[in-house]
Amino acid sequence: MSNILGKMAEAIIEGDADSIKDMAQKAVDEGISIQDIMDKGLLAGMDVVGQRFKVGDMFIPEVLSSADTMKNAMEIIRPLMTEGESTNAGKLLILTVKGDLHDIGKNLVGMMFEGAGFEVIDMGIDISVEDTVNAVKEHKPNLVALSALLTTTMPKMPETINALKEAGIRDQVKLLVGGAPVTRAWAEEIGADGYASNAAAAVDMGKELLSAA
Amino acid sequence: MICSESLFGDQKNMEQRDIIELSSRKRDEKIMRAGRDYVVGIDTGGTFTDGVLLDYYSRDVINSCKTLTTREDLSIGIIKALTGLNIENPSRIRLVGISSTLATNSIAENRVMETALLLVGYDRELIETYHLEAKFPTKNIAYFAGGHTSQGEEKEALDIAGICQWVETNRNKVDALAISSYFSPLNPSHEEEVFAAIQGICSLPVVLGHQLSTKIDSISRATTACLNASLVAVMQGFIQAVQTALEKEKISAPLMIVKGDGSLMPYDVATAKPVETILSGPAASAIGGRFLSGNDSAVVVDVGGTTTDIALIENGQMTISTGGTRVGNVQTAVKAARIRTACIGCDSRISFDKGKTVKVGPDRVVPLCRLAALFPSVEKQISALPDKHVLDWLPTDIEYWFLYKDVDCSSHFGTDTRHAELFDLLRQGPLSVTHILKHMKVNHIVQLNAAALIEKRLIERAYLTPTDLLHVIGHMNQWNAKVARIALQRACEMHDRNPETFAQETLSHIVHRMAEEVMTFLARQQEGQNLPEEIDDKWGRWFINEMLTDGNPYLSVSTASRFPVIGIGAPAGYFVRRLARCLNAPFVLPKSAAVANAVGAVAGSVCMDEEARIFLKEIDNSERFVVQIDGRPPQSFEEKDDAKRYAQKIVSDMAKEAAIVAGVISPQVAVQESVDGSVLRLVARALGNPSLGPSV
Repeated sequence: MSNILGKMAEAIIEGDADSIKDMAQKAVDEGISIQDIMDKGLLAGMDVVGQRFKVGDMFIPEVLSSADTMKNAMEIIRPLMTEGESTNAGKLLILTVKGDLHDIGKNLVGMMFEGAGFEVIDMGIDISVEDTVNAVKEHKPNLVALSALLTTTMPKMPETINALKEAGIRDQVKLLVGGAPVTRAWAEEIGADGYASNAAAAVDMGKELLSAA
Repeated sequence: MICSESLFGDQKNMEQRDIIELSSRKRDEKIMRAGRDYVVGIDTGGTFTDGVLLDYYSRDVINSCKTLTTREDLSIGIIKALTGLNIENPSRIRLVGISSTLATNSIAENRVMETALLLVGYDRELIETYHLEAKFPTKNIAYFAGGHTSQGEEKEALDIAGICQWVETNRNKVDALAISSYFSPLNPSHEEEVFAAIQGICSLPVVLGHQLSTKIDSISRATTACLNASLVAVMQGFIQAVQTALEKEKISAPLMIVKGDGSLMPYDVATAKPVETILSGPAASAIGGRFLSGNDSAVVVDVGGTTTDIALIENGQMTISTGGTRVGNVQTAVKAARIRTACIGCDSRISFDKGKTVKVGPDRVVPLCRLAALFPSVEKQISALPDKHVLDWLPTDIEYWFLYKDVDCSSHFGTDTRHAELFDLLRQGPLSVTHILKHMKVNHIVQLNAAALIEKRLIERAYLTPTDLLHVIGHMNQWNAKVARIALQRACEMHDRNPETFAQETLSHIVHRMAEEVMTFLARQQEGQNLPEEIDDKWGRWFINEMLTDGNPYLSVSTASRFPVIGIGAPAGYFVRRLARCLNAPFVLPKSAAVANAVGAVAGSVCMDEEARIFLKEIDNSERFVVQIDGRPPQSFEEKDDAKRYAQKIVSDMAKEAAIVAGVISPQVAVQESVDGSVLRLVARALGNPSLGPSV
């Protein structure tokens, strides 16, 4: 295999949003599978970004550049996915809860799921509990992911869970929660189905929850 | 086969393993002595209604009575059981406890009142999108504006005018009303308003969702409220009949009804919440097993005629279904005992399958040995079978049908003369199917189209059952063993089985099945959601088979139950003793095991729960913790700990009060906390033995 995948990963890490498109096209032209481009090129790069950010070796502006780079790459890759790769790994509904405006992590997770073959509906930020339930009703996703970055908005997560229970549709979806103040123990306590501390783990968890279903 | 030898050959070893075969310490006492507390317990089961007269403190059964359950009107059988106890001194009875299948049967047979379900603040579109309306036990559903949010805020104004108008228009079309409003556990004000408004319009019984259940699940609350509404009138009639009977027998003791978790509730609470009596039968059996054996932690296996029920008692308390109990197709929010019911019992029909396999159950029939003991003509016919020429043998020679309930044919069957003819034939007495087919001039039973008659229990069938097998091996002697032997011999010859070994083999197959059910039940206590209901896939089946047969030359596979196994029901001594051995567990056979169910109907404790729900609410620009308790105005606090302290005090006091009113002298109160999403639940439970009524 040529070293184009390695170069793509580096471009992601360095946030080189300009050259990634050509690189992606080149990889496609070389006949490399979409799956490999995603796993060994783009996602490999994002993994490193996530790791470095976690330990404090990378900061938000740099992460944003990497995310932008990933986004650009997806513009080339996404149209090609409808043919080869299964776009039916599942349907994800993702949002940031009411009162919270943070979205970097959420966007990353959404992109990762897309890369893994999911149909992703991103509702955006500051989404109310009622709107969430209505969106589940409308789109019928099998996975719902909630993001919050403030301890003051975290309570919206168990409230959403209860709203789904009250509607009688809690068992229709698998619920994932994440965000800096969220912990695995808390996720279990409030009745979520899964928790992940980074975007890649989120995809793994999502797939695991759906296959166990 | 190795298992046969180890199970039936080594009597001595088995005796060493039993804890104790509890027998009466003193000689059988049948008299009621002065100064002792006597209580009466009655259990109506699927087939039989049992009554016991019990000495409450010594746990001795003074007298017992068994009569057939009268499904059309349960109280008739109960009255019969009561009179059959021959209570010489009714003034000495201090408590009467009844467990009945009324609720379960009424729901299963759809003999309930016509109910209307009024849904306040429900999202009709969502319900239709997910086809949730199929979960409701009624077709009369109406949607109205109103309801609350996940923070207990009113989400839209209550359409009280619309509701009143609907009730005005429809009140003659239904017998009861159930009201359920969205998020009522957090704020029941809309349900309460509707209740108050309806009082002024009509006198139909009205049931409110939040009073039956505070589960955060609008569908299951509505379902439970609806089911309850449909049962209220039925339960009322039943309890009135029982009270009249007690009066007639001059018994003036307090009357308690068993709940689905085995605890006792005063009869007026039962009238208001009949849905809570679902599964009280199996629960009573488990409680009875515990009471008679003195074991506080054990697996209780109740072998009945149709089913074998398995329950677990830990530290004196039954394990319950926290998610809610299912009755037939309906998922309720009632927290009844977690019971595993296996469709295999001592009256299960034994059928010959392909190859050498045998099927036991799920159908229940009358054992041939019992039919022959009751009808001399049957004994005569079966005894004559060995004389029948081998070329004339038919499998239907040993299958008998008889008339259980005679009905007026013209009104029942109309123009279907077939059925009327069949009834005429059966009025002579029980007949073999061979005989019936010949006289009705058909070749096969299906041509008689009698399935509905059998389902309605107008006609009953008799065939080979485990009871017959127990007679054949000499373990039972109650009915006609000779007939059992002849029928078994004939069946084996016709289906190419070895008559010498068939009885033992089949009985051990039954023990294995029961052991497997107990194992599955215990395994699922923890892993409930993740393990399927039946043991599946190749490895699973391999492990079970090796464990049960213990014949593998290379690997010994064994499992042990960590709890002793209590056997109740008449055949328990045979089956449960052996299944306990398969599970390497001590076996306990309490005295009076055959009537443990009736004992359990009066041996339970009274248990009163009160719940407080605490949740965060955004008021103006701050957040406050709201405490919601039934019958109290909501209180809000700035600090969570203050809210918890307040809640704990109030519910503890309320539970204690409720238990005292129900008849407990000094109840024990304990509070448990649990997190349910964004709601913190504090439940105070007041527990105690019912105080026995004053002696008259």
